[in-house]
Amino acid sequence: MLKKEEPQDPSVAFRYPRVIPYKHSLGYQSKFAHALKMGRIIATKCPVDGRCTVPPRIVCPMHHVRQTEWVDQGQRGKLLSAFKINFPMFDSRTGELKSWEYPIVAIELEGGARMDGWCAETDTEKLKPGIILEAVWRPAEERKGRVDDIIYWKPV
Amino acid sequence: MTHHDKKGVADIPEDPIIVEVQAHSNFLVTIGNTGHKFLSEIKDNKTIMGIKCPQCKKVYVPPRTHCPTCFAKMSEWVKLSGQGTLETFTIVRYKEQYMPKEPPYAYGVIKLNGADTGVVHFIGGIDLNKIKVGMKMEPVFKEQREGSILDIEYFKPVG
Repeated sequence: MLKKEEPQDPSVAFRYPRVIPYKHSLGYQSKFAHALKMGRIIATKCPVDGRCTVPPRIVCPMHHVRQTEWVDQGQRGKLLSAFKINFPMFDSRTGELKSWEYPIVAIELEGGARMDGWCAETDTEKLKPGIILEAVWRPAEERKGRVDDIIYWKPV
Repeated sequence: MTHHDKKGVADIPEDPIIVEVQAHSNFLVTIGNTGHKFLSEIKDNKTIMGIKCPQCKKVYVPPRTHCPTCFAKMSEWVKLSGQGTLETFTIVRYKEQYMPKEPPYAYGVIKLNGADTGVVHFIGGIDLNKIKVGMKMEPVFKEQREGSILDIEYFKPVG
């Protein structure tokens, strides 16, 4: 289970390879995942102030009330901020270092919820807050009900 | 933004989705000079070393570079006999992924003579039902050692 790396001078190093299989139910968020498979983004809406949340939450984190209303968020959003990582970072899916070519953007969707994603525009100078971005989806047969069913966002 | 046509959401199913995940976790741990000396002494000399804080005089096993209480840098190594006292233990009876050995087996915290902290390791060489807190313990080293804390096979009761 524990493999020693050779050579590592002066310190001993161990590499831990792990594949951890597990299952979990999306529960209340299942509707959100079904929507992603259909190429749509939906959000939960707080009954107190109307704030929409993506990913959805069963309870509003601000007012602690149950959120039962779902709202379609459209396909476009306004850019709030963008940043690009210029050095290799860990990929949380693999644990390996990876270079990130595309900027990460925070978007306010047409329905009012905020979310983040990758942006096709790699020139961050062109990513001014306020520009409109549109979601680009995987082909329907490849979607898995995950947020990365949206491959990236492109300026309209 | 006038693009949004405010679609309804009634057509979107709500039945629960079960997600199957294969989480990959590959990481490399470099144990540093302090850890290197600790494991090398076990490997080459079957010796367990502690490290002493110059301020509070506590001896830590396993060693660390800085005292967690005083934040003083520690560099004074202390050679320990390896014998110690069992402070607490637990017996693992169920099987799970990535277990280091087949259950049932016992983990214990052994406070080595001359040290101020306990070492977590396997308890062996004894009927699991006869393990008692306060027992005097000593390490059993593997014949083939490779520079790992598992070069100590387990701690067994003295004698």
